Amino acid sequence: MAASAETPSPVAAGVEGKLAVASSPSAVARRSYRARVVERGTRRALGGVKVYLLPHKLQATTDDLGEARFDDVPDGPFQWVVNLPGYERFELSDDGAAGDAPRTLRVTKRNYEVYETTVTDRDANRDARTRSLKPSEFLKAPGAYGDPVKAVQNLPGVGRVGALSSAVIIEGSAPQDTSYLIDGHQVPIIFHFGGLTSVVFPEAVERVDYLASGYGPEYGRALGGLVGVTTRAGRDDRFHLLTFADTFQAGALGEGTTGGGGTWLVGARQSYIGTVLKAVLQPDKNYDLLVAPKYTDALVVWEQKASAKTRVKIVGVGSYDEVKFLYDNPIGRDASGRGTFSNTTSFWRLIPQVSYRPDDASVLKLSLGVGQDRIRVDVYRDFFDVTALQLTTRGDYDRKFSSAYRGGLGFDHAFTWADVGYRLPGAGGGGPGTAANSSTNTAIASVVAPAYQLYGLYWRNVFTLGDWTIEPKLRVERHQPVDETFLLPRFAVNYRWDDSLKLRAAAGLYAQPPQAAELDGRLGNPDISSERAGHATVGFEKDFRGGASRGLTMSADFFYKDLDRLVVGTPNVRLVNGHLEPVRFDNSGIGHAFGLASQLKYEGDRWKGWLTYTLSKSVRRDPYTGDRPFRYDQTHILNAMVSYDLGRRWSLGARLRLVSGQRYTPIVGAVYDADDDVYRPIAGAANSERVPAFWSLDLRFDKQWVFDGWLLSMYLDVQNATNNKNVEGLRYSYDYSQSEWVQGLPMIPVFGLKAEF
Amino acid sequence: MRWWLLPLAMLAGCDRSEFKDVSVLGDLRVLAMPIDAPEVAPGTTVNVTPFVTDLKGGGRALSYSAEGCVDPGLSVGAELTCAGRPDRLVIATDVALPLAAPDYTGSAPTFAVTIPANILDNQPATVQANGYAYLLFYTVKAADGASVRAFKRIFASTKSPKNTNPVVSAVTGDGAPLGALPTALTKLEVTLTPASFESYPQLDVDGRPVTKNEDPLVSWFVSDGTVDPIQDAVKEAVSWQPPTAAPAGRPVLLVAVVRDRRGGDAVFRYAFP
Repeated sequence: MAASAETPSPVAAGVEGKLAVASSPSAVARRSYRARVVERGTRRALGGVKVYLLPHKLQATTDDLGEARFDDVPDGPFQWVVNLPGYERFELSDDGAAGDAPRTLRVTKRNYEVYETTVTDRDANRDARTRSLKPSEFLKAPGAYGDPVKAVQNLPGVGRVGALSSAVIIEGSAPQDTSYLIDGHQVPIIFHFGGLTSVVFPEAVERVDYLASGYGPEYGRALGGLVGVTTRAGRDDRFHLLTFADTFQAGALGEGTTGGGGTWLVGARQSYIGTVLKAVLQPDKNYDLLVAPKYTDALVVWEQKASAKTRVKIVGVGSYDEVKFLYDNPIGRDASGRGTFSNTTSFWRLIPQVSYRPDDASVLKLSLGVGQDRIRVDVYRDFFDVTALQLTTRGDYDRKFSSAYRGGLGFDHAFTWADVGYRLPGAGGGGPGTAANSSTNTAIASVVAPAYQLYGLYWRNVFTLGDWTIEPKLRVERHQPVDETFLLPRFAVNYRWDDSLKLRAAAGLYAQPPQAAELDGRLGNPDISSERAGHATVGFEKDFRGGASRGLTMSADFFYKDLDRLVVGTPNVRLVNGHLEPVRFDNSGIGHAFGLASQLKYEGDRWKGWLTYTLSKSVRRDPYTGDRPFRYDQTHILNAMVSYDLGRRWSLGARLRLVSGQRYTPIVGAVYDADDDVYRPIAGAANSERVPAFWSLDLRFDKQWVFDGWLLSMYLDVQNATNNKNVEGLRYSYDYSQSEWVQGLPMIPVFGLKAEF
Repeated sequence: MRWWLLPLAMLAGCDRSEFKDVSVLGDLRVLAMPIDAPEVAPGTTVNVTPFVTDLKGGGRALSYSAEGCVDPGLSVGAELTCAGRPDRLVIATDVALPLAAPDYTGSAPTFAVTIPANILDNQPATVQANGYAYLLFYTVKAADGASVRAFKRIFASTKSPKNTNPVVSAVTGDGAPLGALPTALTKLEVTLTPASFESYPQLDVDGRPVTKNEDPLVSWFVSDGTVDPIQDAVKEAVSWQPPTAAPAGRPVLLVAVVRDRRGGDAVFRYAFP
């Protein structure tokens, strides 16, 4: 673009209003100069940027390729100046000797959020209770190792499972009541071995959604809530590559354009934590690490604009985890728990997606998930092996009919075809009077499970009436394995009190099918039904910023869950074809959970902070154990996170967690089983005791170096920086006469380097 | 060790415990409850000879109590007791249990139990053929209040032939008969008579007959030193690291308990001179 004759805005130009229209005496020789403005480190061309030549007071604006052109410039030395908001002021002296050869002006960004994506296909369906984390929040979240799903642990209402598990407990529910999704399609696991990291490359995640009590009708079959990862498309400007290596793993992510409106993204990670563990594990008389635990994951995303209205995206994701131990001595002296223990978990999904926008008011989305899950556990000679083919579909149509009404319809479907094989003690139909754990009571089976189908259909309505938003919704679910159909109304209402205060409430019914093992004829009870829950929540969101971008915001929600038909273990037996069989499970469990989930967020120039606090109570009841606190009842959950920009691209983050101790059932005695040479414990009141409260201080340091064409980052993430000896449980001697606390993770520093361009 | 491996070493090292060793004798324990006939017809009387140790008890007074009842359903979660059961049978109450000095480890007094004649009444054919358990609870108390409780299943069935106890033909150390206390790591091995490895019929959950083979296990106990592994298949040797010096006033004990995992037991005791 040629030099402009317009008078620049002093603010936009950033040169204190001294510029004037370019005008020079005609007696001076004239020359032309060209420059390309790119972002230093990423090499991203910057369009629409005003470039100044001083002292000539000339100005030009870059085009889409970042190029600016100046003609009729007086001969002699001059200075290039770029003063762009969000970037460091750029000045470059030029003697003009290079003539009209193009110059490259590399401007340095104040803060590189390389993966701060622009959401190109806004999901209008997310309700007021959906919380989303963007890359800028989870990549540097202290204690989360840059992991998107682990960062969800920082949100209000999220409980803590254990030291090496990062499953998500939502507002007093069980871990298995949380569903995990990638691009809207369910996957069996979201974390690798030990919960160290999620199965998706963090830099390939557009956002993580967390849906808690009162979530909308678009999803279901989860009594607690959902955690959904949405992958992002590749960037379309040029080829990008990211590589990293840290204490636990290494990986690479590449992305670029395919031309013709298409992009691609490919990423993969490989762990070597097992190799490290194997190198440092001290010899133990009880076990040997045969195969180092290892995990691998890979992600491929291809996106293409098929037309101005249609976008096609295909996501391929795969994950593999393996660990193997050799136990020389039986675990707990139980003969069935000796020898080799191994666990392999893997899955892959191919998720084609189509998004069609016939007009500005409506959007149609269709997607398909095809894949396979494989889980195998070997314990000595016993094993459990499941291979499941998965086919899931999802569709959603949303239309804004008027300023007062927006509606939508959608469906989802899941088809599972499983091949199950096992050799398990106790699965041999052992009813009363049989041995508990001997070779006489072992079953070997290979079962091809019948097709397992789950259907969902939903209707969403959003009425906007002044300051009120009223959302009556309905979801219908069909659980074919238990032959049940559920009508699940859901309702949400939001009220805008003023510009800074919003009130919200939601309620709904939810249903969740039993787990596959609970429905198995030999391991469970094929006659049990789906579990149900009713959610109610009311809360507010207050913005204290007064329209500014910096300041304080606060939210709080009260939640209540009523649970019934919960699947619980039962000592009952029944006569089946003349054979006494244990019932194993029935639906006699009930329970409820309630509490307050609150969050305070502060964002300043250099400081950012979150404070989340959850107060809750969760109880269960069944005819066999009576009233009891729930295993995952956590009265207090406090997370305080803060990050500080130290300048010169150094930043410091910290997270303090304080959580009520895990509940456990005390062992009050034991009886020696002379048949199996093992002590059988006698349990006290269920979940009546707690281990000491958990607290941990996690720290994170980040340093970034910006080079002309690439970025180098160094990070040190220190979990449990004070090396606090948190208690995760209790373990006993062989006869239960001695006990000691099981301590959680010690201080774990993870040091890593990341290079990207 | 490289510095960056330190945290992982800490993680690995934090899993150590100071629990007592299950294979080392010392506390008051019941090690086995052999029955002269581990599987019988209903109405049969069997003789039970528990094997008890109280090595550290120093000869303190011991007594035992025993009671039985038809299995209320331990394998499906019933409580570990006969209390409250209508068929509860008190067999013995606070009967003296003398153990011989100097190691106070050996067979306790034998007592008899009669399996109810109606134990299989109204049971399905598969249960009658495979067997139903009669539970025998055995409690040993010391005068100072210490106690230990054990239980054993006695199977009643219509099966024929019925299970019998394994028979130990030899226990060897490094392939030779046991003799004097070894001074170095020793491979211990149990040999059973060929008839001890029984094949037996069983009905599966669908009522189909299947033939199964016993796979006996040996649990090893020592008064001194350590064994590794503490439990293994009969045909596998285990390693015993004997004490560097013999204890004063008593011999070094070695006990091997063989279980056919269907209720049949054999106990081997050896005192190193």
